[in-house]
Amino acid sequence: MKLRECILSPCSLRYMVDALDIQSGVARRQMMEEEMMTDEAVIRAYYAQLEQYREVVSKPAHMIEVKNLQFRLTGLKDLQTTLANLEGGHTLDDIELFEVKHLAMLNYEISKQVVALGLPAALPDLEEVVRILDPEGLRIATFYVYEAYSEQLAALRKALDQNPTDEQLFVQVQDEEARIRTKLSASLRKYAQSIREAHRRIAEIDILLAKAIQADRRGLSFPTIGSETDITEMWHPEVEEALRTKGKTYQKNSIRFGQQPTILTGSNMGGKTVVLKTVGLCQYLMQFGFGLPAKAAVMKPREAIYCCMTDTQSLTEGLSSFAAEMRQIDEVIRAAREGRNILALIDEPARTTNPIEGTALVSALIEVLKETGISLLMVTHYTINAHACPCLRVRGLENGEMNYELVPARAGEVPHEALRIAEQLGIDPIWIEKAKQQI
Amino acid sequence: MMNLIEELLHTRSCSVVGLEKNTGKTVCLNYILTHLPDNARVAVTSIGIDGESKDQVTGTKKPEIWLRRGMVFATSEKHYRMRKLVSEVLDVSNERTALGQLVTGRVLTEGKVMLSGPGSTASIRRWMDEVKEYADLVLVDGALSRMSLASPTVSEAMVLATGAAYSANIDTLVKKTAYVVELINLPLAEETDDEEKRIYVDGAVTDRVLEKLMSDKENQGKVLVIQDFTKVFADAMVWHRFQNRMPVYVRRRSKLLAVTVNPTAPNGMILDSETLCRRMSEAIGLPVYDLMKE
Repeated sequence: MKLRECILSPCSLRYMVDALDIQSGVARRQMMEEEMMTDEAVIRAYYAQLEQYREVVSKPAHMIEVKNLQFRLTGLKDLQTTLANLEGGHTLDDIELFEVKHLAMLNYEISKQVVALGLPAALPDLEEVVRILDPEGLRIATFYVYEAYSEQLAALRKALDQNPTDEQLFVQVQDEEARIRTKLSASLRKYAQSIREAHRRIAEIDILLAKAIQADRRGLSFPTIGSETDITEMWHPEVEEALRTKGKTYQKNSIRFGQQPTILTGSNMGGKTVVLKTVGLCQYLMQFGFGLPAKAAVMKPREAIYCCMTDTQSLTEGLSSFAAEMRQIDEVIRAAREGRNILALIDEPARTTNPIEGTALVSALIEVLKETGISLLMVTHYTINAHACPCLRVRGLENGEMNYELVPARAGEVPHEALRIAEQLGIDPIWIEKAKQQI
Repeated sequence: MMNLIEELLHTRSCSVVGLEKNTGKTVCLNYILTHLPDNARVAVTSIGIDGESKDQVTGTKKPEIWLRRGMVFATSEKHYRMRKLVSEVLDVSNERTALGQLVTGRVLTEGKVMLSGPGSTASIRRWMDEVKEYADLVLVDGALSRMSLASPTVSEAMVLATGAAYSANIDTLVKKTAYVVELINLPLAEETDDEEKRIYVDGAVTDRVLEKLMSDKENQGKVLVIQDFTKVFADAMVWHRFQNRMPVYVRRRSKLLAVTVNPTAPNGMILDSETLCRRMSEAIGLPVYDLMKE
């Protein structure tokens, strides 16, 4: 899965991606096309690199150099067409030659700045490309077919300067220029791969820098790769921001679960869905190499992440919410049976149907999935039969205040706080009273 | 006309706007470009969709402008490749025009080029800002039509080109041009202090919009604020009737420096230059030049 597809998940991944201060459109597009990392060694290596960047950006003494580097990174232009032309054996025109020279000089400047900051030199050497396109050694990132390339061109230009309206002379100048461009393109061709590499790496530096700055400014942490999920004091950045603007504080919570279905229960408004979304977000962020909104996190890379949560998308596809949900869960079961290494996050399955069948469906789902060794976190309000599965519960109302802490619970222990919370919300008292009498 | 050149040397940016095809906009721009002193640092570009090398309406060839050594220009990739001069690529913008990326070049050996610049007001502004490094005066080949997304009012000053192509009757031509001049000279909204009395219309100001505003009793005593003079598409009669009831202000305006006339219509009909210039100047109170005579 590419980042561009994963940001559609309901876990606020898009929020974190959009918040990155990336300097060029090229880098943003490159990031969107990145595949989700699944290999532990690759992820470790990525975070080792990101850690170096974070160290750099966290030092106030580097602020100006980092700003300068960011400014330089804005200069990256899209060279895909030009590179395709070069590799395809075409003669580049002045505009394309300018682009190549501009990139080669940008590569040189960025390389210098990156090394000065103490970061690993990751860019290829394009000095030969600069030399080809800067025959006068001016080291200015502009381009034209310089007189230094040919004495004949110099003579023709001089003549044209004296007779600017002489069209025949102009044609001669153009012919000579075309001959030189063909030669230049031929000598640049063997550097095409290095140029492509520089283009990709400059965008990569832009991405790493943006992620490091995001991690530093937001106090995010980098994960440890392990065999289970163990996140300490996590928070959901988008919800946290919304609370903060209202002058409220976000109560962070911790969660730990392994290779089996884990049930999450708790009262209404207890933040269970937010827990699911935060776990999903952390999983995605880890596999795309971002900082995680938690104090610390042990994470296990997965082949695929399934977020079965309410969304409005299914409505536009003409499916009822129940049908959409059933199909999603069906996919999870299939993937689990195939023995794929997945993480599934399911929010209140079968809640839109009657509680008798709903309870039956959810209990059976746990039974089916338990055998597969799936890593599953599931929220439900139903009292289900899941004795062999670990359960977690949101602590709930305490002295009229919601405590969002997650604590271990017994299976089937579903809190009955709905009426109390409804009362607190000031909902019609006659209605709530009548409901109490029914229990 | 040399007065105009003198005035331009103290101006940061100027659009040359033609009231109609063949009113001599390009002649005017070329006149300015060739008469500016050699040491003047000048940059030039165009706005609007002047993308075709042939005029879509009359089939005449789209004019090229003549640039001298050292002048900086911006045009689309397509027209940069078709240039008939030697120039250096200074920058290639990530912004795309209908004809590819926008290329900024500097002339090394004088010659001709076709201009097709940035397509929106925001992008022309950005370019004008970037090009400050190379130029003290930015000239803009301005478009004046509904087809253009960019407004010539991005520039500080303006020169208006009119002529027989706009109307072949001196009386009508003077009247129609005077109407446009009146719109160009609309006062800036900053000059009215009463914020509460303002009614904003950001889009096109048509007869219907004006009639609607006039028919609403609540609008009595209010003032109308529009974006700039290019948004007015109303008939002069309706406009004047409206202005008697509600004053109109603009959010952006350029100072009109001069009006140029081309007394020759594309069909060959020629107006009397002297009468035309005199009558025009009387009607608008600004210098009027016949470029063909200069």
